[in-house]
Amino acid sequence: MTGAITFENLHAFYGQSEILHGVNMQVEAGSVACLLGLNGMGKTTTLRAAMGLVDRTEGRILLDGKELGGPTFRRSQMGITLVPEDRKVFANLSVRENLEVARAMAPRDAAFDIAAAVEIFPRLGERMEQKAGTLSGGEQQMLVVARAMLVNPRYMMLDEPTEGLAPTYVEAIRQSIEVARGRGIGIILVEQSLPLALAVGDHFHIMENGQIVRSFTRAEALAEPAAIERLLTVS
Amino acid sequence: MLAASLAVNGVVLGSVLLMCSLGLTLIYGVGRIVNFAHGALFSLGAMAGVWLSGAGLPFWLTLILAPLGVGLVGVVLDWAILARIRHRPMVDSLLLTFGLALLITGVLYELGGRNVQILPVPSQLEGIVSVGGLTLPIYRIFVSLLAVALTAALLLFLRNSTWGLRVRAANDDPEMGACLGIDRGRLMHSVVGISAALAAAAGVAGAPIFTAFATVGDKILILAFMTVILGGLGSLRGAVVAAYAVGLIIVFGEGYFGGQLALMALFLLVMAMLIKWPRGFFGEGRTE
Repeated sequence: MTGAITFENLHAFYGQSEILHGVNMQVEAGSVACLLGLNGMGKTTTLRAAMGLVDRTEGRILLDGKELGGPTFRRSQMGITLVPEDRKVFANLSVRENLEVARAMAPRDAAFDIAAAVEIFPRLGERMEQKAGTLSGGEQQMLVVARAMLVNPRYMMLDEPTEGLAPTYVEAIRQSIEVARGRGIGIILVEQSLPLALAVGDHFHIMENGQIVRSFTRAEALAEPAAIERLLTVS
Repeated sequence: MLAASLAVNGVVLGSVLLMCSLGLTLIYGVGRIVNFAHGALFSLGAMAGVWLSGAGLPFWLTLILAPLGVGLVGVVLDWAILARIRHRPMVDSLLLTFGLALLITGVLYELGGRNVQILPVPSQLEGIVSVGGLTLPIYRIFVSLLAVALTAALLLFLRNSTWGLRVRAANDDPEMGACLGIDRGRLMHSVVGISAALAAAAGVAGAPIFTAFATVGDKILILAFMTVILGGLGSLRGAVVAAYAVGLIIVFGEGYFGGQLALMALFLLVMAMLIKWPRGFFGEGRTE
């Protein structure tokens, strides 16, 4: 099944402050778009706006041709979910319960189940009965990514999933992104680590002051990674 | 002997507080609403018990119908009023539910709640039993067992059902729950309904002990808030332990030092907890 999530001239506001000034972007199902930029440029706000977690938006987002709108849970049910940057596990639930609550939100016949999640993240299988709040940072990050995949979304947004993680965990997250893409999920990845972005990304969008100012295809980015790096360096 | 008798009364009060506090902490946890109307729902339950009993219904039927009716009132209140301020700052919910409490109390005043009324103990539960030289009123044992049974049923349901899993997930992090597709609004209708029913069950069961009048729930509300703070906002097992702790502190304090001193001791404890351990007994409460 093909499809795409399309951001059309998206503006977003927190109170009176306009944070996004017309974001335009299209991410196809089964591809990875990396959203890059310095801190405070609007990357996280772009993801939160798509989930309906900002005060107000203008412009529109189309998800497989249908306008994405309404409260956050409705947007999730339409097929998009978010892995936020601060590892929001359900701390008082066990690892198993964290996974089960997500699986219960997916269609009954959805392909990706808890066994598939444990296959990607075997460490979670060893921690099933442990309270999620007592996991290490890396394990919590694995859990929130697995949980997001378990709702069987069409599109998944990851906000700096490898920040502060040890290399083994970064590798696990990279593999999970590959698996999600292989399953036809469209991914928007906000990432500070350029090597990871270059390893998984199909398209690269640079954000500055609430807008996408440049975009690169994978071929362009691999041919000239220094050009991207320059754009991500404080001058 | 006095101590044993006070302990029994402390457990009874703790049981009643437990039925109110679990609802209070769930409503806060899932909806981030500080429900000042919870005490009024307790009063409504007690008064409904008196009305239904006055209409000739047997106690047992009253004990079922009054919580069902008040539970329905809870669902309607959430759907019609609380849902409108779901995304507003917590202070708005505090003021709104305070107004709701005054409104419900005012209606109860007009419907006969000015006078203290007593719901008679059902004949099957009259009398006392002697255990090891201690005489215990059967009805008070019944109230404690009822509270424990209802609490255990709720906790089991929360632990083993999909509904419970969603409630506990939203209790931990409502925003993340929504990102996974959990409809917090619909969940809240059921949470407020069940919480209101539990408060009403406490009101009916407590009416033969604490009597029934328009503001009978006011003191219970204050003690239930103390319970929820001691247990940690949003912590269910914290509320269980704290309910009995508060019940025993109040009853022992009243027995040995007088009612005002007992309350002062409790407030001091709550203040110390808020300053030193704001997350409650098990460290799993919320602090925002």
